[in-house]
Amino acid sequence: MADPGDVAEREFLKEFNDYDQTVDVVSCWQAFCHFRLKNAHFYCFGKFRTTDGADLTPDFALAESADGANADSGSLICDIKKFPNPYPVGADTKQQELAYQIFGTSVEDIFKYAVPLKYVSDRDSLPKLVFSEHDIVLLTPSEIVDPVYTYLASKIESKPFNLGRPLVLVEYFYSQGEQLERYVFKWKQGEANSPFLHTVLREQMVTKGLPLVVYPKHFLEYKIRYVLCNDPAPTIYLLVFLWLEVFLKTLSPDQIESWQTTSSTRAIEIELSVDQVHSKLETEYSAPFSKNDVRRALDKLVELKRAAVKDRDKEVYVIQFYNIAGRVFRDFPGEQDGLGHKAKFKEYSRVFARLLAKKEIEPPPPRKRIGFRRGRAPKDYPRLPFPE
Amino acid sequence: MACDFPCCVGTSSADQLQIITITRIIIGCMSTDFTNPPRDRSQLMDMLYASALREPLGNVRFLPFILKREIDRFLSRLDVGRFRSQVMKLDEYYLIRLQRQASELGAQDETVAGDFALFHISDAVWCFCSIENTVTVNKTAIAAIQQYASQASLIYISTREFRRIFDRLAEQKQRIQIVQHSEYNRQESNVNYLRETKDYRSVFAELASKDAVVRRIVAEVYAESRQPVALFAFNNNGLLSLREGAIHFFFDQLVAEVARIGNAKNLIFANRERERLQLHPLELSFEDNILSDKVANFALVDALSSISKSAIGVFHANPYIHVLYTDFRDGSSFNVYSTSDSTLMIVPSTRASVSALMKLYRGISEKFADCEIAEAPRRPPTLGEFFEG
Repeated sequence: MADPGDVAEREFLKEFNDYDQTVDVVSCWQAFCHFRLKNAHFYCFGKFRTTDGADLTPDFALAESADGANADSGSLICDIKKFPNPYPVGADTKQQELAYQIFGTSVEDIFKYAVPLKYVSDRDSLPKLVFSEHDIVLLTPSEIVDPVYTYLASKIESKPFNLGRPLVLVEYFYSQGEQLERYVFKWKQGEANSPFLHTVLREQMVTKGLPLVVYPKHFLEYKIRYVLCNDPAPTIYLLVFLWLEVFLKTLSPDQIESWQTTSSTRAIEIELSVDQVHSKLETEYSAPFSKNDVRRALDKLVELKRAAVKDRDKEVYVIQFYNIAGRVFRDFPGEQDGLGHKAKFKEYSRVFARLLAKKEIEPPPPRKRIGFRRGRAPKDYPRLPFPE
Repeated sequence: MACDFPCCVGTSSADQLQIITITRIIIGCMSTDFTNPPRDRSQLMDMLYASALREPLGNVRFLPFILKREIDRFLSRLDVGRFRSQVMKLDEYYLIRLQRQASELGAQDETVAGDFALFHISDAVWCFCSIENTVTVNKTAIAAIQQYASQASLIYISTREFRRIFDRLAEQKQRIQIVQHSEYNRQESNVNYLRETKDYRSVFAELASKDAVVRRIVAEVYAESRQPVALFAFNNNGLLSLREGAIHFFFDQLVAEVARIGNAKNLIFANRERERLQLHPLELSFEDNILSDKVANFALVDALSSISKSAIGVFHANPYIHVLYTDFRDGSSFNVYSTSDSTLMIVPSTRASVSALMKLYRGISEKFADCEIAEAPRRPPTLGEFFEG
């Protein structure tokens, strides 16, 4: 039977990788929009409001506008979705029905965009356009596109797919082959699929049948700029980014240099409020981390005994910061004798996956005074000022 | 005793006494005539060389380094943390007694002190100069530069740059023999020490065939007349030690060349910080489509994770590589990703010091593969690149 820790670790890594791939896909379309559609606005963050007052957060939208108020015909409202397997292996009839029902509900989630929408957020000086002549685009990995197409064909009466607005099904995959690696996006071939209203996309992807391809050299700069996509980031993604990229930069170089004259495994205390972290992320990274994201990540660090709450009302935390790479864990899922073997990992997504899966081997050390420790640190295991 | 030094004019008698004491200490190791300090950099080097010749295994050591801010701020940083210093300013150089105190952690790390001259070479490059031994230089001057990571940086000399320096000397009809060298072998992940006298071209050809890089070289330069000109050691952190030979030739041909490399790197590495959505990337170029084999991605991750006082988060390792790299010495960070089979992009984040970039460049070129670094060219995609026929 699988070790629950291994299963949890795999799940955390999957969350990290799935989210990362969604950010990749958004970045691909952003690169395409920037380089090919010079007059288009790209909406990767923020909310769209329906006439009923409901707020929706598609993964991205793309629009040109002749009058500055309305999105032109052929604008896109897009969601990227990985679906659960509708045909699980070994399932009995009842389980099969349930799986298909879950799959169907998940596919139908895209239908909500088939209404007029207005962009209502204040981000990046984007115009608050009204989208009423848009295509809904569903981007899904190639391995699941056939069941999705079949499901849509069975559910949508108006063909090509139209729910009040046309629905365009696009599959994507990452191609390695002999040519340079790139993301490949293909309009799903099929009579029921809607062609794009957007002239460039229709001519290239539908009429000529050419896939849209985007290379890492083009999309990665957008990914680095924006870090996130319009979905809430999983906690592991936030933790890796905050720990490696953000926390240390709240200290001056002088403070860090003084810390580094001691020992790399000594903890330095970094006192931060949710507001401070959120403000830094907004001003320096232009990425839409919410305060709730920050709170979620800091609370998780408290749970992992890497931080303590100093003032709950003011949401002030004290982070015990040090290089936690090289921590000792039970070994990787799939390896034999997992419980007995110890492995060290230096890479932070894996380190946090293991911390979150509670696979750390050593018990937390007893409480010590906060601040620089005077004694020699046990190798790889700085003492932390937390109770057991 | 009255002090004749111009720098002492106007100081109190207690200050004068301290300055005389420092001067005795510093000049004392360079010259018996400590009441008459060298008047300029040229005379300083002559005096250091004369002092070195009187020492057993004496060397004159030069440590050029990059300094972002004004020298006074650097000097003030030589008196914080574990460092203590006494400084005397002369017209063309400073004399410094630099002490690094024992750490609180244990007796293995004893207090070390060394005497140095410090002078400006050109643009952003300054130079420590001394007849102290390598251990003392490492524990005082080099440690001080490394401690001040946000503002100062050692100058990494890649194997290609070593080669270019020697090629330039050879073009001037100098003959260069490598007497001994140490090398890091990328295939075996170990350092080897070799004591063989060979023409430098043979040594560099062997290094390339073994997939190894230079750590340190001891070389002898001969003039066309076969007269020896200089016997010296040259480390890949820019430390140069003249054992014997023509010190001004050595300074002009080697120390100044390292300073030139330092200034060139500083121009590329400085002020690269991200400003909100504005990125200022650098590009590393490799030969032989090294990144086409995906196993190379893991070798790159290994190389990055082996850099001291740093950490990585791997967003993608296969098929393309995208790593977030953080330097714990000053909080600098960088996104590193592949853009083709022979290029990597380095995108500095909101904090990105010259020393952190130098360390990253060193880590990649030493542990992964030889490369050149330059400002990333802007290559907007052609229209046809987006739709594949």
